[in-house]
Amino acid sequence: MFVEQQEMFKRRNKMNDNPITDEELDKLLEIYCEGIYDMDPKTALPFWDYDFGPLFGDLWIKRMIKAIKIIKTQFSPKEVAKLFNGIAVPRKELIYSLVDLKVGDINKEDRKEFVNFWWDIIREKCANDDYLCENKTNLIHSKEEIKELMKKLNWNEHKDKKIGKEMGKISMSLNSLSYGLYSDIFAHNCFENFGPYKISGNEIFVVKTWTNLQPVEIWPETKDFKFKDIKIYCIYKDMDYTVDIYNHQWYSANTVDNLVKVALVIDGKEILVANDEDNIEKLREITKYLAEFAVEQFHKYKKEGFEKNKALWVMQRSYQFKEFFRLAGLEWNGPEMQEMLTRVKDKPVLNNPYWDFSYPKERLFRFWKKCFDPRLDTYFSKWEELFEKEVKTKKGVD
Amino acid sequence: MRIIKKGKGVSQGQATGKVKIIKNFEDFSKVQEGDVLVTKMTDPTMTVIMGKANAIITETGGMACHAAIVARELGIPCVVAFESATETLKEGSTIHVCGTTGNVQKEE
Repeated sequence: MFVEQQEMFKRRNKMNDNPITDEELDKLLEIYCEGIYDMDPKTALPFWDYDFGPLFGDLWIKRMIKAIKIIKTQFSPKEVAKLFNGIAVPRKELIYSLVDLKVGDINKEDRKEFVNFWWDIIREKCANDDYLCENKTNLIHSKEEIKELMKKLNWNEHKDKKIGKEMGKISMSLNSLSYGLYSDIFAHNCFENFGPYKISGNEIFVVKTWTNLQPVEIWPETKDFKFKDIKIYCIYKDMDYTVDIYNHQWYSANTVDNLVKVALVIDGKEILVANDEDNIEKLREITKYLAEFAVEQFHKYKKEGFEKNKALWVMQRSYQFKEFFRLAGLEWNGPEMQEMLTRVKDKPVLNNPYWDFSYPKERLFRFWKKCFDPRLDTYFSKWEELFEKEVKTKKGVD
Repeated sequence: MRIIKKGKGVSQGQATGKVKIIKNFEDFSKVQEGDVLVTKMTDPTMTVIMGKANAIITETGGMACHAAIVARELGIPCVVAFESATETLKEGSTIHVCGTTGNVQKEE
């Protein structure tokens, strides 16, 4: 499961010295389609990503390509990778932009350059993710780092269910807060889990992280939020853990019953959660604060209404790349973003049939893969015709 | 126990509790510790009441919906894609939810 640290963090002198292969790209497209198919467009808040992104996808991708061309001549993948707390942001940018590349009629050479750029960052960042979660793992820590964490953390034995339940509530509240701050689609800018790291025959180690909890440029009131960075370290037994390309976590067993040890770290400080009532009570106070803040934040988000939610979507997407754009001498909320905001203003979201899962899965996958494939000139304007040919005319036959 | 209906199990485990149907914000106050929260779909405004629930049932959603993700973290069973759950299930009745199979059962 692990690779040597020097292998994981090896520095490349330039980008794209090992571009994505056709085989890797085929796997990526397959995994991407599976990730989409696991979702339910009806439950996406505030709207289905793929019905909104194309409204300004051309503007988005042109700014991103501009930034990449500047950055890749001056910085190594390692330096760029350091800008991101985890790997979910680069990973999801790569897959979301496969649509934008087609919306923006980007030429083949630039599409290739774009994909290889993010591919390099992903490989730099993640120890075992060449196929973007093919193995459904999210491993960012080296073997040595895990050993160190195991040694230095003050572990709390999970003797009864009280701690596990409170930890579950903390995770839930912070995940909910992530949705309120960054909406469903960009919640990964806040929360990301790493693992599973196998530590013994039947035990796994999972690291749950929440960062960027005070995006005051988008939500000024978050300046009053008490915490900046929260991590929960969990050891589970007799359980498999997986994470998909969309940063969705899956546990094969109950996360409370199968918890063995846990450690909670808030802003670098370990919080005692040992099994005595005083500590449990302190933990409950934290849980209550987080849950109430998450609820309040989402009420604010919902109250904003359709037009503001569209604007927020554009801002939230840009905000993830605040430091990245700065590296290229651009501002995350500069004139390029203002142009995007103008573009989406007073526009309804799209209502394309491409995401109607009642069509046979095989046909949808075939269609999606052709649309997303950066090797093909299947521009967005051609999708309707392609859909008719690949999916619609054969509905119900399979 | 009689199976009322089968949905899609998206968070492992089993639990029993009283049905509390949530159609709007005013219904939030009905939820007590150990209840089964039944709604069309969850969102983060339900964070506090989801923390009280023994199980969650929703009419829409899949493996990656908000209800599923949250339930897995809480370690409680969750069944999604249970069509017309807010109409089919009776407020206050005691049901058994299996988040592994997706079965929702009622005592005969």
